[in-house]
Amino acid sequence: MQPTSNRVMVIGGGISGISAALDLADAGTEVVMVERLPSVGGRMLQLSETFPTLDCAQCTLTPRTVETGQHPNIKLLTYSEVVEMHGEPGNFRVKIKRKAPRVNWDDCTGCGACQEKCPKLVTTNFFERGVGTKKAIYTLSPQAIPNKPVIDAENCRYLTEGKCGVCSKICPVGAIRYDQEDYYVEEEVAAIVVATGFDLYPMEAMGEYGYGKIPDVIDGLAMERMCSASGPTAGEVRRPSDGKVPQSIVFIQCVGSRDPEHHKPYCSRVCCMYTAKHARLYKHKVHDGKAFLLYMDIRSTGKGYEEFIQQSTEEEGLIYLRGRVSRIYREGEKIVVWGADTISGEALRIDADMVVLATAIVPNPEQKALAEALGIETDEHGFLTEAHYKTGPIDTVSKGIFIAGCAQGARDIADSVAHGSAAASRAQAFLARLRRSAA
Amino acid sequence: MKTDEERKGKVTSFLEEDYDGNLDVLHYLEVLRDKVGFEELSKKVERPLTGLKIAPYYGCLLLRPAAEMQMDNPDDPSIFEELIKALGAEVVDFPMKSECCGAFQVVNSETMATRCSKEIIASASSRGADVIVTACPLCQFNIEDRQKEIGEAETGFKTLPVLYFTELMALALGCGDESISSKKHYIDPRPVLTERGLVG
Repeated sequence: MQPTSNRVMVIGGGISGISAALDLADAGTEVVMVERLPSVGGRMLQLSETFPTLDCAQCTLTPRTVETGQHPNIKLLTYSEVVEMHGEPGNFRVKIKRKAPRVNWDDCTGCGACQEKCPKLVTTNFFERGVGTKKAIYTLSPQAIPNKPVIDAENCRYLTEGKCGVCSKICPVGAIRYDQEDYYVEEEVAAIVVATGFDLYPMEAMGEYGYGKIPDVIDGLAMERMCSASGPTAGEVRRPSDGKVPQSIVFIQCVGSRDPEHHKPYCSRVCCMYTAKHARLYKHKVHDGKAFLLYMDIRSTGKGYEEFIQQSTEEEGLIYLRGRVSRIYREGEKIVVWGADTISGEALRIDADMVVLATAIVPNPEQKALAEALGIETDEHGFLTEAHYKTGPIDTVSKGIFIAGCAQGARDIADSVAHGSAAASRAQAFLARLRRSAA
Repeated sequence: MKTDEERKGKVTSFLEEDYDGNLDVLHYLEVLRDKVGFEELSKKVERPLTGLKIAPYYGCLLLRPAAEMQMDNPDDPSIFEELIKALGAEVVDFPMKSECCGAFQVVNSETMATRCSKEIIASASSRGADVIVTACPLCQFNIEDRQKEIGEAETGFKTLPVLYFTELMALALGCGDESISSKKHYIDPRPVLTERGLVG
């Protein structure tokens, strides 16, 4: 069989997909990267510092995203989604929806004037997770790749009320296109790497933690945005309800994870570490603040992880309590956390200013439809299913389609990078075999 | 009886009767919601409880265990609130509405029962409730009765009338002032009801 193309499509521009794409591109393979959001970087772009080294996520990620954007072998299709796939291994034809950014990206110079002058402050932007605001025309980060904005059509004054047009007036190259529409393109590729990442289990599903209705009860990614120096609060920890600096925070681990009766049975693998990290970052910012960490047990199995936890418990002044929480409610200005200390067996009550929930890692809700379009399988939780649990963790039941990163199961950054590189290697081997059989 | 064959066998052999276990066991609140319907009920209201602030107290066992009770979501129930609204009153939401009142521990540890009840009463009070309403006679008795002790121990403690939900239903459905008896309650509910213009 003669492959029509030697290209590989990477679906998902997070750290795993980027790793796969860069390895493939460096080896001389042409890559088409499809990313749902306006720019690449994925979840890592939302993070503040990363465990166990506490180095800045932007600083470690940006060189990789820049390289992805500039690599001659990588064709970047951001703000795009895979909708259909036809063909067979070696000859996949993939239909891609290119969402309208309502900005002509070819003309846009990325000067940022539109974002600066846009009068509309949006509090519901998905990327900021309820922390701070974004404008109705935005890029995900100051170092966005590509550095081109999109218009949030639901919140844009011009599109919802018919007046405003500030961005259009201010744009020095006249790139604003309010009437731009989605369109579809088709790409031919020989193999596909699916690295569509993860989402967090919704707080709305957790009755005992207030169903997401208490503003000062936030999830882990919201805490990341709050701690991030390039985030909406410029790294200041302030509670969402009144903007006050919290003097005490309760961090709760295993929220939705390891709870087979009500939620997800599995361990989400990163929460023990990022909760310790959150608490340390908070203490670094608010020196006399109290950080309580409620855990089931501590799972710190990566390299340098146990040492990080040891340091957290012994030197950073964090208060670790083995306990479970049965109820969180608002009492005046305080958030009351009720539960049990499972070592002493005593009832536990903490009157805190803010609560951070380490909610379970789940696949993105769109992942199932994508898997169906690609003809690959998902497990009972929606994660992509590997061909063999032990010996085929990157392959799928469909030849030529490989999986990487949290789309397959919860993992940390280092493992996601390794998984991405492994997918690149598997895709290369597949291409080489195709060429051999064609010759 | 419906879900566990083994247990069903034990019960029927003890009863020495061939009961097939097909009877539904319903709480009166469920009958009101599912058989009568709260909308239907609200049409029958003759004296709407306008202005009365009611804290609905579910207690620990009305909704739990959820799988067996199959009545409402134990973490965010609404059945009681819907009833209160149907009667024309105002719902006071409070976080202690499904905590244990301690009635089961009255004999073993009166102080524990008092402490549990106090949390519930204080929580409802601080959110502006005129009365607490229960769907369990034991809760009703306990939360009302504990207030004697709390009142003796704490000067300035503000008592809160505790009513069984059918009392308020009777009042709203037009059974007259005698639906609510001062004599049956340690904490007389009539002053607050009079204040709200509901009994005369």
